[in-house]
Amino acid sequence: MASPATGSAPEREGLLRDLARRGVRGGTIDPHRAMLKLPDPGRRLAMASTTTLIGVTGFLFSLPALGTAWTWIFRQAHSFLGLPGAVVERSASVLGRIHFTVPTLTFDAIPPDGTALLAATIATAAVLMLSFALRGPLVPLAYFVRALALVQTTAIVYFRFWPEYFPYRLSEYLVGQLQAGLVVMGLIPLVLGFTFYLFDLSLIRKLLLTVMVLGHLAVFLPLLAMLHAYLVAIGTLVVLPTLFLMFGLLLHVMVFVAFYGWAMSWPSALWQEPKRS
Amino acid sequence: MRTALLIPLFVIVGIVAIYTIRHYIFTLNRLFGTQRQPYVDIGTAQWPPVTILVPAHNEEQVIGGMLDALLGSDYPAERLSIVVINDRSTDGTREILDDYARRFPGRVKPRHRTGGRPGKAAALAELSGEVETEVILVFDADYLPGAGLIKQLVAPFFDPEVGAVMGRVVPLNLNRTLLTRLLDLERSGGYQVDQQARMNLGLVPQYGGTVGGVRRSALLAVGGWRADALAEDTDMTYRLIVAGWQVVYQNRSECYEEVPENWPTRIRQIKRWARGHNQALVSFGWPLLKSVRRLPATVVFDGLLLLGVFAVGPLLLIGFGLATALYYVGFPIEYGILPVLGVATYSTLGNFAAFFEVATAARLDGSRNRIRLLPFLMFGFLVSLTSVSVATVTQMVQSLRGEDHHWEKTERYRNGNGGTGGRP
Repeated sequence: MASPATGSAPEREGLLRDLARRGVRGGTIDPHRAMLKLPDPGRRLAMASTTTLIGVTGFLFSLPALGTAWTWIFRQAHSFLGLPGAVVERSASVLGRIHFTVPTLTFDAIPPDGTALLAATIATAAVLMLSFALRGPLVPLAYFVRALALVQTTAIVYFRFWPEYFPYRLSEYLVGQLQAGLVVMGLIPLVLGFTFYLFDLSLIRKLLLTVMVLGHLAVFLPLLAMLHAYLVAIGTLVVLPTLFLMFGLLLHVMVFVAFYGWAMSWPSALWQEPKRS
Repeated sequence: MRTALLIPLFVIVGIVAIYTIRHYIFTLNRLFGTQRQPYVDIGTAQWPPVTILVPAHNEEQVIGGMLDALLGSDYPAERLSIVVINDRSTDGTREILDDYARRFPGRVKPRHRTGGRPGKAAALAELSGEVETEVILVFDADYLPGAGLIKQLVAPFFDPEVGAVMGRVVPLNLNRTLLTRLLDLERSGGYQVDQQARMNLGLVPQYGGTVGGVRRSALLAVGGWRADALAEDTDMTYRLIVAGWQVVYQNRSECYEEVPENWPTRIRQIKRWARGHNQALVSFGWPLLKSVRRLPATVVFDGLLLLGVFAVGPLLLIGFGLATALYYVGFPIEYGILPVLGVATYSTLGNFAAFFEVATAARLDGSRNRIRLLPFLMFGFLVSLTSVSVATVTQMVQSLRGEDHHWEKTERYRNGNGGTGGRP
């Protein structure tokens, strides 16, 4: 049998290719991180597009079941929290073809009276003062708390001078929150498709992340909406702007980024532990 | 009222969307494109004489380590001059430098500034007139270059079109605090993806002024360093680009630096960067636009986006204000579902582009565990946004009043002993 060194041209080329990547201890010499890139962009983009399409389609057809599940969660939470009114369903559809329902509550929260405004003002001032005690590594938290206090101050000023112009009712707000959440959920396969599926991870891992994020949002969205309803019920409408602006879509994006960051840390062929052979 | 709020809001969203698309293009290019590193393989050459300028102000903690690293370079010693510009230090920097000059005569040449305008730009402006070598490298005093780095940074100057070169900055103290880890992620995104993609696409890699160099003839052709520049690196990048020189980036040429370990230092640093960048935006925005007949349109467009990167901070804050006002007057439902979809898309895809870039960079770097800190970048983003906006507004007020800006030095943390004096 001929050795590779004296074998056919393809054998020699294969051997040379292998030797060019082999280290002194028999390990593989990986390219420097400055040179790393992903191979097969066309195949990856095609696979990402296909998987995205399947993900979005699957999500759209799961909407009726999701609406039913959300109504059940709303009823359980409504009973647990002892909120007034009742849980009702609102009809919705996507492009007039996929019909589903979104739950909401029949009770409407009241605008703040003088006492509620005073309490909100004192609480906001206390939170603002607290932010100045957050120093050292907690400085970013201080900035966030100040942003929170600023948004709450706008709500206090608004309800002090123009309460009759506030354009939202709790029932509409809840529907809006859930529908915005559905838009975010529908975008998840698309975002993951072109920012995560491109990487060299197994299809199982890619699907696992998609299912985990969508599963999380499917449970989190109605629970968060009910928490907002509960806080508005006890805190009046003066807390609604802060809940919407600071703890709505922004919170979902942060949670999604956390999932994404975790998944991007999963091992792949891009970097390999040094071989000790 | 709603329309009055919507129009400027959508203009701001549009501007930010352009930056978003740019992030995506850069990241996809870095992942899949041809990586342009045309000079990195030059290992044997007739190496030219080089002068390394190191501006230093109260750098006793780090300057010794820096000099040790430079003296350990594999660049021919007889062709390498290290000029440390001691800019009126009040600590032990002078003594350390004089000690090195005594130990390494002709190789380490300290220059002690005692007067004139303070700051890095002024120090470089004063000294660069005395430099006679064609290649001038500039390092910050806290940097630790590897043995082969000088050759890597000099190699691009064999190309006569290259006016400046920039290497990659890698944090040395990344495991100290959460902030240093976050800054490592940011630096990774900025260099591993952003700078390299600009290099790949033939756009405007930025000469960062801390691990890089300039060609003396190019420097003279554009009028030398400007003593009043708040960000002499950005200033130099644009003067070279407008004059037709190439600025190149070497992703393989890594150099270690100290990043701020506490938030007050970070806030001061980013405010300084913002003021410098804004100054460059005012100085070079129009000249760059005018050069569209001589330069590729993509270079001009990307150059403008790079110039405006710190101006986006205040714009975003205005956008948040407009969105809040719009919320109180009621969202115009009559506009239909499209604006809702647009805003939702922007909130997810739009904000997400920067995370994609950073995560990709960290993944390419092999910093797997650190990617899990991604959501904490949002808090860092809030601090940066506020600081940049405050710096911009303050700068505008100062300009209206005719007040001068002052230079602020970044705090050092390394518990140095003044270096080893070249001893092992």
